[in-house]
Amino acid sequence: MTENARNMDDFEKELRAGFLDEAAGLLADAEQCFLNLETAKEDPQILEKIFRLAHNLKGSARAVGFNQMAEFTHELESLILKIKKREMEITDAAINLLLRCNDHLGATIQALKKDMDAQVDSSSLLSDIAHILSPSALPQQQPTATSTLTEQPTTAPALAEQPTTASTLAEQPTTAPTLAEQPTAAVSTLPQQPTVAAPAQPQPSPGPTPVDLDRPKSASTAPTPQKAANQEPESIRISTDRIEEIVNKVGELVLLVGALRQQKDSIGDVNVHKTVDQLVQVTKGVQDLSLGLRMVPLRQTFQKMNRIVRDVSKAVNKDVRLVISGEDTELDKTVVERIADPLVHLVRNAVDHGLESPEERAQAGKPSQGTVQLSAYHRSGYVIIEVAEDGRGMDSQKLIAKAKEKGLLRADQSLSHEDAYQLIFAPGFSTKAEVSNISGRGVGMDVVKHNVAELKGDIEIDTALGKGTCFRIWMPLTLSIIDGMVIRSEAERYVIPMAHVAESLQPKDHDVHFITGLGEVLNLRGEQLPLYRLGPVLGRKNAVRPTSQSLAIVVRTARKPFSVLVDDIVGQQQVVIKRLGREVQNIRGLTGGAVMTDGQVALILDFPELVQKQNPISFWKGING
Amino acid sequence: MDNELKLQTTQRVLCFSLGKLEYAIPLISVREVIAIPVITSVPYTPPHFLGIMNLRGQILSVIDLRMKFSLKSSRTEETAVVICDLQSLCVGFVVDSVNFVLEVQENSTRPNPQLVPPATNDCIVSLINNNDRLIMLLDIAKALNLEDHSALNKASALQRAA
Repeated sequence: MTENARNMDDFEKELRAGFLDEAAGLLADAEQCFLNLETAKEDPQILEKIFRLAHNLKGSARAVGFNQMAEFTHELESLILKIKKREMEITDAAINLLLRCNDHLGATIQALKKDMDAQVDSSSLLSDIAHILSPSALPQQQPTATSTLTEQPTTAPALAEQPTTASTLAEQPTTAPTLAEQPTAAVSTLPQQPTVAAPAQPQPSPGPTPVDLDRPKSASTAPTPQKAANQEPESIRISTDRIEEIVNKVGELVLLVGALRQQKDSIGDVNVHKTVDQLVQVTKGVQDLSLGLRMVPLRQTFQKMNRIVRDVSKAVNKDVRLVISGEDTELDKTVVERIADPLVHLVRNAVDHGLESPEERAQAGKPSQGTVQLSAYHRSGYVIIEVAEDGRGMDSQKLIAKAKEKGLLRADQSLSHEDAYQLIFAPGFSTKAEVSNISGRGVGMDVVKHNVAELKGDIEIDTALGKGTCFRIWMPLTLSIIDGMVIRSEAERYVIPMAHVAESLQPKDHDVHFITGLGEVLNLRGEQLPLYRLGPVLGRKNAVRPTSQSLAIVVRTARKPFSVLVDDIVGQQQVVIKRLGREVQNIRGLTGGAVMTDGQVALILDFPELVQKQNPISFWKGING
Repeated sequence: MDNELKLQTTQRVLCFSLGKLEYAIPLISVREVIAIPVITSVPYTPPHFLGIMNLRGQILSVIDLRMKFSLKSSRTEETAVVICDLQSLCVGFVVDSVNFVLEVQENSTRPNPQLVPPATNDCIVSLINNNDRLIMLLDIAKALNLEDHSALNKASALQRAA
């Protein structure tokens, strides 16, 4: 009995832990939606999504017994419902409140993670919510909403009867009648909802309308469960310890297989040789896969920056646009977790220190809206994360003066520009005259540098006075797998990321022209693309090969599309990006190396970088002009 | 006790040939010696940078010291790659042959008399007298000229900034 009770307890704990992990994800999604709401206030889809998220959260929280959280989410849901029904305007104040609620839920989850019985005080936020939901409407609406959304098992008729919900449905005339007529359809949509953490529990609050509203047509027929599967790949949670164990065991396996490979020569049987060779290949695949288990994309970390930029720019009265790219770039989970704080700091700094006030920008002839660009990409087996802004840039003289004032430098010391920029990483150095509460307590950049160094990374600064500053973090890769296209130039094989390849084709001789000042140009269905030959791009003096015997690869990821002529395309395969030695890792255009199936190394090339290097002047002209 | 004392005054070195000249490096910096592998060349590198190779899944750079020292390079059955571990760096370099491991007494070495060819001059720590044959003890980090590489890095960093 006791055993059984304990098991129940463990089971419940596991459920709860699962819920908390899942909830954190939901909150991140919700935050994104709140921020989107700011720019697209009229978009009903965003509101639907938020409503759905809050709803899921409430249901799941209740299912695993986090009643406090469920109650709070319920209030939040009422608020969202009100906005959804357009009874309330989406003001900045409302969005602020929503974001605060989101933060509060985040804090609650953190607290619950530490202690499953933690009590969190939500009273002040609750009263704010009550305040914003007009006090008179609140008492009547709330109970009805609760009963509809949580208890009623026969949802569809109930929905139709409820005046509050019906008004929502009325906006979508095609769906409402269907729902009322076909209660079964509404029920069968349940599996479509991203059920979380509590698979044993029936979703306590169907509220299926959001799903159907997105796809009114599918509601009239029986909804296909595969759709949910298509939306998000199924996943299970595995503890990092177990992954570690797998990686270690696979490491041992690789060694044993290596030994077997050596020993196979003592056996004459051809079949044994064949089998061993296959085993070697498969083992290698397993090793790569197992190492890849720890990799997670930077997406969530990057998306959090939207919020940071929003809050900081509001606080300092700046108009700032955040541009994110490369959020699918993957890094080891621990690295992603530990890089988050330094990134937050850099992004804050970029908005607070880096960008000028709108007036200053206007004076300098810049658009009043500043841009912060957050990007990630691979180079030489490193992942590079950049935080760049088009602000005032760093003034080395000012930095030096400041350092002298602070006693970090002797009065007679002089520094190169590069060394002066490094001053900002010195402990106790803050570049802004007055200390703000956003950033600039002088305890930031040295910590950033330290954290990055701890992860065996490096940080560098590119800055131009009046043009902006870019902080570039180099993180070593533990492992990364890309889909690659294997190409050939003379005897050498190279790999390029499939992501760079828009298309490949066999050009005819008359498709290629030489234009003075531009070089060779490929005529692709009327479009004139600059054409580069791979040999010369790599600085090699290859014999000129007739165009018609080559293949052209069209690249559109750069701001200006171009094409590259290669001798042949050998095939496609997944490759593991391996870091190059320190002595060559900085060569531009080399993403890293890949060990091919025959054991030889092929370089992974970054065409946009290589081409830019090839012809920097016209390339930049192309971008700016 | 005896052993400890010995370690202080003797050093094991790996002796190898580059062209007709004999060199040595401390054995402690040598990871392994392998037959010359398939080497993939890397664009935008100096000629003595032969390229990169696969050593059990790790990608290493291979450097031809003979070319660096302006010595005649050839390839025979003896030609090998010495993989050495230098602090954070792991690099292979090509030698004409690996000869033997020698135990050197501190007092049997002589300071570099500055007689060796100028290209290699900086890299010679001392001379070892082995049965009346002189072996040059190399500072391998200097010989592979890591400063050169960081200069290369700097150049490309600047290029990136531009």
